[in-house]
Order: sequence, then C-alpha cells, then structure tokens
Amino acid sequence: MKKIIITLTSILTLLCSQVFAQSAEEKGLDIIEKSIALDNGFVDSTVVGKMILKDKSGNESIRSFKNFIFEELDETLGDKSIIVFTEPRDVKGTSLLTHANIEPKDDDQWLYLPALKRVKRISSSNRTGKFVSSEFSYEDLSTDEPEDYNFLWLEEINCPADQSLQCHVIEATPKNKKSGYSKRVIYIDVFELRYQTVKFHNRRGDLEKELNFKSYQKYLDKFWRADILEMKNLQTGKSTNITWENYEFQTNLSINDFNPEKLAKMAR
Amino acid sequence: MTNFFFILLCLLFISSYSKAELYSEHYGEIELSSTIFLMDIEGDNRKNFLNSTKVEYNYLFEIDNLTGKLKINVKESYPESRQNLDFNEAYLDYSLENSNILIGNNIVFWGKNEFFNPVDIVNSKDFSLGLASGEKIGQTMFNIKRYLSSSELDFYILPSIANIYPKSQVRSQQTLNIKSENTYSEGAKKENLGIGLRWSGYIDEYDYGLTFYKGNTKDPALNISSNQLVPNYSEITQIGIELQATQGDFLHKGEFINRSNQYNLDGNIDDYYGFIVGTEHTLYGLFEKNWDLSNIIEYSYDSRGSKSHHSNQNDLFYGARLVLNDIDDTQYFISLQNDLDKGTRAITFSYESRFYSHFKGGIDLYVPLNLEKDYHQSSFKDENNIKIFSSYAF
Repeated sequence: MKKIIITLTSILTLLCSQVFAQSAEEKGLDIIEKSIALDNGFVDSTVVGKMILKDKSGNESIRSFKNFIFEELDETLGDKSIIVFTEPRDVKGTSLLTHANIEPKDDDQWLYLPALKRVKRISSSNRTGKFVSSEFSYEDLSTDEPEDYNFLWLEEINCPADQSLQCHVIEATPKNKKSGYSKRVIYIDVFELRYQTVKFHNRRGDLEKELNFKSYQKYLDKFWRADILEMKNLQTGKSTNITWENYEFQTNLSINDFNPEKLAKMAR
Repeated sequence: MTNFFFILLCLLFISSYSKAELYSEHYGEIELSSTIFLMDIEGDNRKNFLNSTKVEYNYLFEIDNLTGKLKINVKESYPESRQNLDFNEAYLDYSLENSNILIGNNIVFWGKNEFFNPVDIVNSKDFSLGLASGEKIGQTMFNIKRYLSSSELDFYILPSIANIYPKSQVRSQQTLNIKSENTYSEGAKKENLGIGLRWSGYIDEYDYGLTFYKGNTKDPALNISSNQLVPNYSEITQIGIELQATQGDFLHKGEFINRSNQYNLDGNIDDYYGFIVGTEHTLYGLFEKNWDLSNIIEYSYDSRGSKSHHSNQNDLFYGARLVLNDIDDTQYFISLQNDLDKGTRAITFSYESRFYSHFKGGIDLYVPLNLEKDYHQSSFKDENNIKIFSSYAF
C-alpha cells in the first residue's frame, strides 16, 4: 500500500510538472510581456535627445532633437510619437510624426519641412532605413510588440554590459518578412526586467550591431529609462550614441497634438 | 508700415504678459551664392552673372497660449543692386483648445505634388533674383484654424499682395523689362480682400485637401505697354482638390483645380481646369550601401493648351533624388521637364552637402534644350546657368 501511494504521488508530481512547466518559447514571451507591461501607464513623455554619429574614421556629427510620446491605450494601436530636430541648425524644426501600427500594417508617418512650411506623408514600409543617417534603423526605434516576434528563452548569465547584473538571454525572431534582421538576442536584467543589451543579426545571420543601455534612472517611482544608448555597427566600425536628458512624464499632451495638422505647431 | 505695426503689437503683447513665463529663441541662416550664365543674350547688355547674399533671421516667443514669430529675409544682389527686406513671417498666433487664430504675415503651403502645385495659391512671389527663381512672399492674413478628429479646417482673409519683379535686367528675364507699377481689372483692386478656405486631413493611408480661393490672382497677365511689360491682375475664383495615397514604397499624388477669370497667354480672360498627377517610389539600400533613391514621375495638364498662362500645360516631369545617408546629409537631385506639345526640354541638377557642423554647400545646374520652340519659355532658351552656394546656419 505504501509503495502504491509513493508511486502514485511520483506519477502525479511528474504530470503536474509537465503541465505547469513553461517551454522556452513561453518563458521568453512571458519575460518580454512583463518587461513591456512595466512601462504601461506613463501616459505621455517628453525628452531631449542628443545623437552623436561617428564614422569609421572617427569623424563626428551631432543631431539634437526633442521626442514626444503619447501612450495609446487601445491595444490594437501603437503609441504615437513626434521627433523635432533642433540641431544641426539647418534642419531645425524638421519633424517626424509616427502613428505606430500593429503588424503587418505599416506605421503612418508624416514629415514636416519648415523651409517649405509643408507637411508631407512619407512611406514607412522600409523598416531597415537609417534614422537620420545614424546606426539606428526605424525598426530599431519602434516599440517591441510581443505579437511581432517569436521569442525563445536561451539562458541566464551575467549581463554583458554590467557584470554585476544577471540577465535573461532571449532570442527574438521577427515575423515580419520586411525586417532587416534574422534575429535579435536580447539581454534583460532579471530583477528589474530592463533591456541591457541587444545584439542584431542581419538577414544572413551574421552579427551586425550591438546596442547597450546605460545609466538607467527611475521616474515616477515606476518607469525605468536609460540615459545613454550606445549602438555600434560591428561590421563597419561606425557608431551612434544617444544621450537622453530632461525626461518629463504626464505633461498633459493630448492625442490631438499627434495629428499631422498640428505638426507645424509642435515643431516650433 | 504694416510690418512695423505688427512688430509693435508683438512687443505690446510681450510687455503685457511679462508676468507669465516667456520662452523665446532666435536662429537663422546666411547664404552666399553666385550664378554664372554660360551664354550671352544677343542684342542686349545683361550681365552674365548674379551674386547674392541672403540673411534670414527668426525670432520666436511663447507665453501660455500665445505664440509670436518674426522671420526677416534680407537680400542684396548684384547686378540687381536691389536690397529686399521681407517680413516673411510676422504674426501672433493664439491657441484655444481645438482652434487657432493667427494674425499677421505668414507663408502657407497647399498641395501634394513635387514639381508643380496648382492648388498652392495663398502666397505671392518675389522674382527679384530672376523669373526662374521665384520665392514666396509673406502673406498678410487673418487665419482661423479648427482642428477636427483627423482633419483641419482653415479659413483665411487675405489682403491683396502683388508679386515683386526684377527692376533691372537680371537673368532669367523676359526680353522687355517688367514695370513695377501694377494694373487691376476684371474685378481686381489693389485693396481687394481675398478669401481662402481649406479642409485637409487623412483617412487611413489617404491624405486629402479641398481648397477654395477668391481674390486677386497671383499670376497676372504681362501686357506690353511703352516697350515694357505691365502686370495686370484679375480677380479669380479657384476650387482645388489634393489627394495622396500611400501604398508601401509608393506615393501616388494628384492636384486638380478649376479656375475662373484668369488671363491667359494672349491676355484674354479664360476659365480653365488643370491637374498634375504622379507617383513617387523609393528604393532603399541601393548597391547594398545606405543609399536611398527616390524616383518621381508626374504629368501636368491645362485645358487651355498653348494658351495657358504657365508652362506646365502638357508636360511630363521626371526626377530622381539620391540620398547617401552619410553624416554630411549629402544628396543629389536630377530632373527633366518635357513639354509634350513642342518636344522642348529642360534639365536641372543639384548637389548639396554639409561641411563642418553649421555650413552647407552645393551646386545647382540648369540646362534648357530647344526652348526656342516653347510657347512659354522661349525667353529662357539661352539661360544655361550654374549656381554655387554656401550657407551658415546659426
């Protein structure tokens, strides 16, 4: 009798562990969803960005801009954002409005050209295009939506950019065939679920770029934001660093501020 | 005098709002250019060069819901030896929750296409640096803007402002000088108040605009009188439609107008309709580099044919823009305009790039081909020119 009870208990334990164990895919998706969910509720934000572009010879060029983001609560829609350039001075006021959409629908984008006082709708189907000649593509700058990728949890190791932290290593394979990448390998720290490093593999599978997030700050006691983003193209030697300053949240931006008709006004 | 009062108004508002938090900034650009014409004009003494200096200064302030902007353009050129001071933008703009009220001088763009915008009618032009180099002049206006959910409705009251033509024989020019005094007929008056209306917005991947304008035309007839050309303005009514469909890498665009009471090429009043349609497509990552190549093809038509007052009456345009996406923002543009009535053509080429952080430089080339056969552009048949420019932004 005792043997039967022990045997039955063992079988039940084994069955339960089979039922409730996460697969590597599920674990990867779960971590990404939790990381994204931690950012829910910021409502809107504004920040000043300074982008330093370096070519392989070490020549530098600087782009400065303001970034406005409006959190879209409707889960069938993506967030809305406006980037207004302030430097170089000859492009001051040039602005890009993006209405992010869920895959497979392309984002809607409009460009404001201050010299002509013209708002022009542009094509956004090229996700691989470089954002203002930097090493960041438009795809790199868009928000990760869990539905857009297949995720696979790989392992837990020391974070490459900060060895004092432990990171989940998750492989993300884009579902969109127009993506510029075959996969991304994402390092997310275990405790705060913040992106620490992303490694980008091109369509041939070669490691092309590496992005490190540094100097995280916590805002409103909830929202983590990295002050520094360092993107390095490992194949060409070029790099782009973005420094974020003056983060502000819940600044009473309205969804109407993110319409193309208001772009000229937001660009001032 | 009008501009002086606007500046005074700005200062009065600033002083009355002095207790509120004021945000202000100023910025601008200085441009030096030299244009060399490669062929002499037979029979007259026009110079084969044009050197010009342009300074643009912008001052912007914001206090609560009130914004003021002052944009001054100063131009000096030789051999025109004309100093132009233009308050391109000098306005006060007050924001309400879903509306805006703007009073003052402003520049407005209507349209969707690239080579020619028949619906774009609010601003007059300054041709003092040559008839091929028209730049928009600030238009005095009272503008109410109402924001709707995905569209905007604009209403304008527009006092009449005439074009500015070159005083001396600056190239590119007509054979005769253009008189600086204007004449008005067919309902037009110097003190006319024009009305403009535009409803614009987007539905999914479609952008649209519906426009209406009634007031003095921006395209006067040039009548011969005492061996000079005299601008003669009529009062026109124009209805316009603009559309763009964005589909993947393609942008399909069109503008359509119906205009009444406009003088045609013969100096007769002639109602007409016209349009321009076209497509823009971009290839990304050319030759596995970061280069983007945009190809634009457009076709324009005017129901008056050879009697059209402008040169885009039955024309095919092709343009290609190559953007290198380098840290200097280098780009090249080449275009070809082909008049299908007479088979005449004109080619342009431009290059520009940034050097150091605040300087930009470039070259523009204009090459007319067999324009002597063109109804509208025969005066420009020998106007091959190359322009070199550099600018500093501060």
